[in-house]
Amino acid sequence: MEEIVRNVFGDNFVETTRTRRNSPSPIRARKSGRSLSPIAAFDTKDRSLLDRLDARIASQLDSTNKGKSEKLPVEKLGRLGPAKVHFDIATHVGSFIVGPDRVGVGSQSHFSSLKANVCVFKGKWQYEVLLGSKGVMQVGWCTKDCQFSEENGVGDTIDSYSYDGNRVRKWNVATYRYGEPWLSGDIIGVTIDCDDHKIEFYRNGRSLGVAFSNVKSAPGVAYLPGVSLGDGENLVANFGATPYKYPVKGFSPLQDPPESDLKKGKLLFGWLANLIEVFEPPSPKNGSKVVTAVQQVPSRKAKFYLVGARIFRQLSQLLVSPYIVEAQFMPFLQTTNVETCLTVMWALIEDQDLIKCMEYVCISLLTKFRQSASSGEFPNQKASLSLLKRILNHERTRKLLLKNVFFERVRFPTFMHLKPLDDDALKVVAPVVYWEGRDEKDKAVYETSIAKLGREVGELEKLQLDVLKQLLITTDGKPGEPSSRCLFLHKIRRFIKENIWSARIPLMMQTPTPVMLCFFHRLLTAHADLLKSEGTLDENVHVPLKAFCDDGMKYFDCNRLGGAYAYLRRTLRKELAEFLGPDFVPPPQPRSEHADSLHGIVAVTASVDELSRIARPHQINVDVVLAFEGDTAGESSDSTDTSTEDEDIRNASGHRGAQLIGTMRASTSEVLKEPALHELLDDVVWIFHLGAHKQIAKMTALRENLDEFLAAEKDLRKKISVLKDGGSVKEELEASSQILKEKISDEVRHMAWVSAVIYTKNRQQDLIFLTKVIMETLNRASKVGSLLAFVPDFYIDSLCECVQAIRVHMHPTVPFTDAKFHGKSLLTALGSLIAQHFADERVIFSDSKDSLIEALATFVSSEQTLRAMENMKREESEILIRMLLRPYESRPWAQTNWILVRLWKGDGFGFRYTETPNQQQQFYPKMTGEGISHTNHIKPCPSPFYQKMVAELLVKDPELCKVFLNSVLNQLNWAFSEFIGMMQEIQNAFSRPDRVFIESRQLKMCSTCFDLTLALLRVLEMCVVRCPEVFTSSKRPSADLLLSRLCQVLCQILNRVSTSVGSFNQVWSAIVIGLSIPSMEAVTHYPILAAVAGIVLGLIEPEMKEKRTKESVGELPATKALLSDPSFQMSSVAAMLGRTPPTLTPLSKLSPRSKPKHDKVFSFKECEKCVAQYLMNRRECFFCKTVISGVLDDDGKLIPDLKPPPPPPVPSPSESGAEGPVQGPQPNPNRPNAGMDPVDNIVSYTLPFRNRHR
Amino acid sequence: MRKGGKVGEAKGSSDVTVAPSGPVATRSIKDEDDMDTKPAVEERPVHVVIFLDTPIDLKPSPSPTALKAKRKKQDGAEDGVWDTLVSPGQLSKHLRTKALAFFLADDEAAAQKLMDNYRLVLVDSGVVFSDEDSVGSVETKSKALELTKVHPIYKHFSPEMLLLKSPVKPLGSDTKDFERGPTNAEINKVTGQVKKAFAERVADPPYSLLEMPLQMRRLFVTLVECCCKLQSEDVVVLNLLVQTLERIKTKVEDFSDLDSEKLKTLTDMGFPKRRAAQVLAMTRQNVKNAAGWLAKYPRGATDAQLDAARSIAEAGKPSGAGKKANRGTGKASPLNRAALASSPRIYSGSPLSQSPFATGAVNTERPASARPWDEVLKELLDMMNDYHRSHFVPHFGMMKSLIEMGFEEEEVEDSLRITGNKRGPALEWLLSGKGKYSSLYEQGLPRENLVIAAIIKQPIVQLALLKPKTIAALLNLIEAPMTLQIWMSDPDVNGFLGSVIRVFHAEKHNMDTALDSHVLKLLQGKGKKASVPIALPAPRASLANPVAGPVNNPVVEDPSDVR
Repeated sequence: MEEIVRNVFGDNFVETTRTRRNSPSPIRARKSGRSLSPIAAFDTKDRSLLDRLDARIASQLDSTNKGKSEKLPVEKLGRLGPAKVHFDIATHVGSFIVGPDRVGVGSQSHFSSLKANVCVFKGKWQYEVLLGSKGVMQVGWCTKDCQFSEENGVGDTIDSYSYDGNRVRKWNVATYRYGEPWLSGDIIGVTIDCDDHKIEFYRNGRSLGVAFSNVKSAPGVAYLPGVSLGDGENLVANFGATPYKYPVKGFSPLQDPPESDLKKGKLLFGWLANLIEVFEPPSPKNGSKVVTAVQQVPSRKAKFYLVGARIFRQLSQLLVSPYIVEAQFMPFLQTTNVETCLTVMWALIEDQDLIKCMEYVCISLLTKFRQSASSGEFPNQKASLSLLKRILNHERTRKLLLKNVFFERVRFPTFMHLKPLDDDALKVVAPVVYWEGRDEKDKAVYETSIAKLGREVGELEKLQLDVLKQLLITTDGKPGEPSSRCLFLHKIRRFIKENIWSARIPLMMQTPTPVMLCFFHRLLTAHADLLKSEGTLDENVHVPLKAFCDDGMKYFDCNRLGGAYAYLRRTLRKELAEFLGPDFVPPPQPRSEHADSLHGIVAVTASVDELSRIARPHQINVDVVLAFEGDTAGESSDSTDTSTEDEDIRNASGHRGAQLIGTMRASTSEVLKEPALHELLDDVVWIFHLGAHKQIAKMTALRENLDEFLAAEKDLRKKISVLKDGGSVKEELEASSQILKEKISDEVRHMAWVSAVIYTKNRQQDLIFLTKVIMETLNRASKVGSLLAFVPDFYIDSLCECVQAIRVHMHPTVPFTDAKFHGKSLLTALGSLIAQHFADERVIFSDSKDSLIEALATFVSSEQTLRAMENMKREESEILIRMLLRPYESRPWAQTNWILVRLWKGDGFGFRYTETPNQQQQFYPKMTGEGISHTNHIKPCPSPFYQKMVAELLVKDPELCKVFLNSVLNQLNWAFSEFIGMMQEIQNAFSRPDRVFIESRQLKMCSTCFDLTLALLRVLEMCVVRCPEVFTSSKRPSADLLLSRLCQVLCQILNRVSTSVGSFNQVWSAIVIGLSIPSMEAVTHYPILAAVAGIVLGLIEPEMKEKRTKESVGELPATKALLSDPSFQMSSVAAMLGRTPPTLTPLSKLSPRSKPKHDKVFSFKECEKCVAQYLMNRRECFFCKTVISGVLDDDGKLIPDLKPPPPPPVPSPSESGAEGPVQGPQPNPNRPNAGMDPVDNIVSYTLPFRNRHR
Repeated sequence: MRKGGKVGEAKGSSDVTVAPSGPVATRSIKDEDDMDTKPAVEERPVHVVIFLDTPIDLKPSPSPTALKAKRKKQDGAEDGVWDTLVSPGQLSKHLRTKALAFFLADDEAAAQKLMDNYRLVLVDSGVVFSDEDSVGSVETKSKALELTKVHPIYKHFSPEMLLLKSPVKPLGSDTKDFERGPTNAEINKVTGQVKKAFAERVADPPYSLLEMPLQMRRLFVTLVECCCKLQSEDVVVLNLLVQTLERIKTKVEDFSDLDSEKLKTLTDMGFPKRRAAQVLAMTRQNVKNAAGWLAKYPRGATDAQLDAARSIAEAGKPSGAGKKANRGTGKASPLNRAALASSPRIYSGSPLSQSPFATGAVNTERPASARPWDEVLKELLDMMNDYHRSHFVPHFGMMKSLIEMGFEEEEVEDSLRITGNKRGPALEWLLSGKGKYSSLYEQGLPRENLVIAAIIKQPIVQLALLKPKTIAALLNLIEAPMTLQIWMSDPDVNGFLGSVIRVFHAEKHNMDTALDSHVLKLLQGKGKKASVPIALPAPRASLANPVAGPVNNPVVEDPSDVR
């Protein structure tokens, strides 16, 4: 004992105790009957030593406070306010969320201001803010009297001064350029020198220069720290409650550092260090050495604890102070034996203190980790991670952190993030930049620096991976106590859930996508490593369908491909039981959604926890104006900026901590089963879908941006070289070139980061692996019949996003090479997966359906993927085409129609442009997010293979052909009518004398209808060109009808579009003279006329060639049909060709029956009134002007109003055959020729406007 | 304190007792739950040694020695040592109670009260027992006991435990006391001695946003010149300029929304057409009033001022772009700058008869004109000014009242146009003396201007300046500033425009141009109305969102004012 004390406290402790000892007594002998151990008693010497120890320690600690100088009077000191400095929430303007200790604030309104509760008027003072976002914030000093408002914040009044790094300006009523742009995570130092009347700002310790040097001072004028935040911005101020990160020399913190505690701490930590040094944790090895020793009671260890307890009795109070943790405990941890230290702490510190202390430790670690890296070696980050790793080595601490700290107060995923280096650091990392056209020598240097950066980052990633793997340890599970992995996976589940919620509830915090991406990759790598070490690595890694079916993975409210889980469980009960076997007990029937979400570490505590989480948003809604207490510090929604991270500094709130204490040791009732590795995999898939892929896509913008600059620069160089004489133009060009070069250098450096860290080979491999996993999962699930419906919807989305990321986003930077999947090309396999499922009836959830079709659309619009698809098995391809050719009625057809168009685009008439020629030089403003036409800007990529297949199918299957083409014609009719109708309205609006505003929605609809018309025309063109026989062959029963319908529609369109007085022309003319109509600029003659011309050509061209040999008119069915169409006008054709119409029309020659008579008129239920009204005025056919003799109603009775009385009505059998409200007049399919003479007097009659009257 | 577990579950509290003397062979143990599962070896009671850790109390407190004096205790109590036998099934909280009773209290009831302040720590592994741990679980927690399986000698090792007292926390230490900041009275009290410095300081006035539309327009003019220069080799640009010029020309002469009969009446009276049209619109198509006005204020008496303006323009614009200081180029003399018409309408104009295959695109092949681009641009800009001039409808009432104040008709009209028919700003403009030189403010800014320099330095601006579409956008913005919203939503130009506006806001205090100072000097030199800038009422907040900020449009009229 004496030895321990001497070692720990030094000699003088022992000396004094020895002198005080008065009765040295020998070891007490015990009565043999009771003494079960050799010696179970204290040495009296030790006892008294211990007795005195407390007093000694106390007196030592007291002595540190002696000689403390008297506090200066306020007047001298120049600071007025409470000792504890924080924001004074009574001063708020606007709404805030304020952290529990009132230094972390997040704005909830347009512009909110807050002042602190301390003011200064003399001396030099400093405070720091840690930025949680990088938006508009004005940080500075103001006086008590400054009146702020939603418009005016700190810096907008005469006596307030501020800096805003978002707009890079300083404010004091007027505003001037000042400082540099800030980023989230920056630490802004704010100083005021009241004696010299100066205010200065610092960014990460670097001065931005004196901002103001005429700061007023006068009686009654004192300055308070003040901040004004734009909506959603947040920051954490440090007024001195923890040590400043970048203290400025000569400036004092607003809150006094706890001097006496620091002194005490210094002594105590010194002793603790000594104690830990002599403390030897017993290990089996040690034990076997001293096997012969008789147990000493008290053992050496017991003595250590007894001594240690006396140290911790003092220390534990200090360890819950963030200042001490930051200033003393963290450095102490760096040097000491962390494992032992933690063991001792666990035994000797109260649990809630321990939690608090560990929380501060983690916050401190995270802050350090998040600091902007000044160099490419990431010293801070590495130090932080390796300490974290050491801490996590300690089993109980690891679990404590998992249960209470990570994902709660400290956002663990941030530890997995790699914050991009800022511009300055990148300049150090990549001093030389290279781009095409520059010195080739630089290329090697540049690439070396990328490689070096990659290595450094690799080291850091390795550390992150180690940390992660520690959390995924399974071996520490005991009966009644879940393993770390189990805890960790539960936390991830909840993390995911929170992120899903955050999209719906504005105040919930969303994890920034850069963090998500890094977290995703680390998890995936960890998973791969675990697979390897657990020996199950093979080709076919997948998530078993079983896991989806039995709800073992707790997918709270995520949708399945077949709909909601509860619904599926009910409808597929039998299949489920069959698949899962008799052992499967379906989880209790409908739990409320609420209860559903209450899964957690320990049922009781977790539910409290959950409840508080669920309740929180409401609480905020109620309490929105005034800051409230709670643990929502900084949980304000984050701006969506790329590099914006949410602040992680969240502090403990006492009561929650206390609540959770129980979790630590009372987890005996725990019934968590050990999670399988595929659960981790499932999480990874989900996280990818939630955020990671967005970040991958975002990075593409950087590359595109760079490309744009490069192109511009190249262009400029060319211009300069061509320019003969100098002069002002040349000067201008050179100046421009210089600016661009500088910008490109910066961008190239950013690209260096991207290619070293984000778009790397390894990460590409990660994604390929993930693709395979999802495909394997889906393929396997698909084989189990209807149970595919249980697969969560995000699997489909993730798959599409994943392939997109590999192929499109990463591609040029990391060249895409097709991988193998079960011996096939990955893309082909994927193609057949999509082809197989895009119309799968098991997929019911509409979002998933859309995703699949979208994926298919993407697949057919690039050369590479299209070829991959063509390599699919023939049956698969046929299924695909057959699905595409389903009739367009009663299903969403626009998308599948686009797909057909894409297969055709490039082969059609005037259809080979990426952008139609008339769109290349458009100078009209277009609207953002204008995604009207999917086909317009995609490079043509025709697929003769599939075109042929379409043709074959149409020829082979007359029924399919008829139904499909009819439905296309119907939709075309509808779309074009809608379009013309809206055009008329727009034109009406123009011709009114006063200003009329046309709803932009209507304009969009109009142009969408135009696009639909185009797309349908193009599909018809494909059919006409690829299989003309379905229209012209006399052997096909439906050909004639289809042909005449087609011709009719074509003539209608042609007439409408080409006429010089129609609305189309007028609106279009308005565009020509520069009066732009938003979203209508794509509506021009070119595309529609080209499409019509394509069809006409497709019909007539073969016959034109034949004509020379065969003279018979009857042999030219297409030409005949076209010319004999009642609405055919030569002038329209001429207009299309841009010629004046020939005077002579050969119409009568070619078509002897140019005026067929209408005997019967097919009426339509929905427009009976219109038909009647029309006929009341004009007794002739809508199209051909033939006089109408009579109209029959549905029952075949003559409508008497429409005279003259016709011959006795003969109900046509065809009428009863085609009564569907949406179907056009079709002949009865069973009796193709019944009741009608194809040559003579029956003309099917469609009212083009029928839909408008619904 | 340690209440994690479910207290209710605790089974019979004292079915296991400590054997104070003798071996334990006779013990009957009932704790069925644990016993069922544990191997037989553990049914034997465990021998434990518990040490009392003497707590320090801040006040002098009874040390164990004192306790000893107080109570007659079993052996060891005074030394803080208790060795005893316990059943493995015993719950740790019971053991704790007993230990406390042994050391500190007389009976278990008293010990119960102390319970929460003490905890039991297993020395070997440093694990703290939770209430519901059974002593038997020492087995799992003590490494030393695991050793017994390794070597029999460890059988004799007894687990040691410490009975530690938790530090007593002052009540309410968790609740944080938040204090308000100092009050004004307190501040005044302590700052009485502070020396005055900069006490009368006046902050720089904020930039008047009323001038923003005007200045933006000047920015756009300069930018479009720069833009055309960079793309001067491009035929598309030239064609675009020529086309726009043609269009504006037709627009200038378009008075179709006025009553042609009334207009004819006026022109028949001998008034120039444009001027007549403008006055007619101003008088809400009242021919009588219009004729009266036209007769009262014939234009053309301002040649002297025009000359002065020209000289300034030359001084202010070294590039020479402003040599023909507006008022029409050549043919459009200041005399017939009179014009009429109404609000510029977005959608008007007659349909052109063109082949349907022609497109809205600018012809890319042949140059539409053989003229050099700079000439065309100059004419175009002049024509636009002309258009604005002639198609602006001043507010009749304001015109009258301002003229009554002694200003000249023409400068009043200019001021109203520049300020968008707003009386206060127009009056200020007139008072500053700039009214007569308004036309100068329709010119571009010189390249030396700091704002222009800062804008042009932006890479994103440079990128945009190399695209023909930017020219189209800029021309459109000069022609009709209200299209800014539309252009801002165009993905092709919004980055550029956003950047321009952002830089403008950051640098606007540098906007005071050479031109301004030149004009002011001139004004003072001539001894005209002294030009003291008058502080504007209610300056806008500095927080106006720089990008989506309101755009005061000089030619947007309040409909109620127009007719």
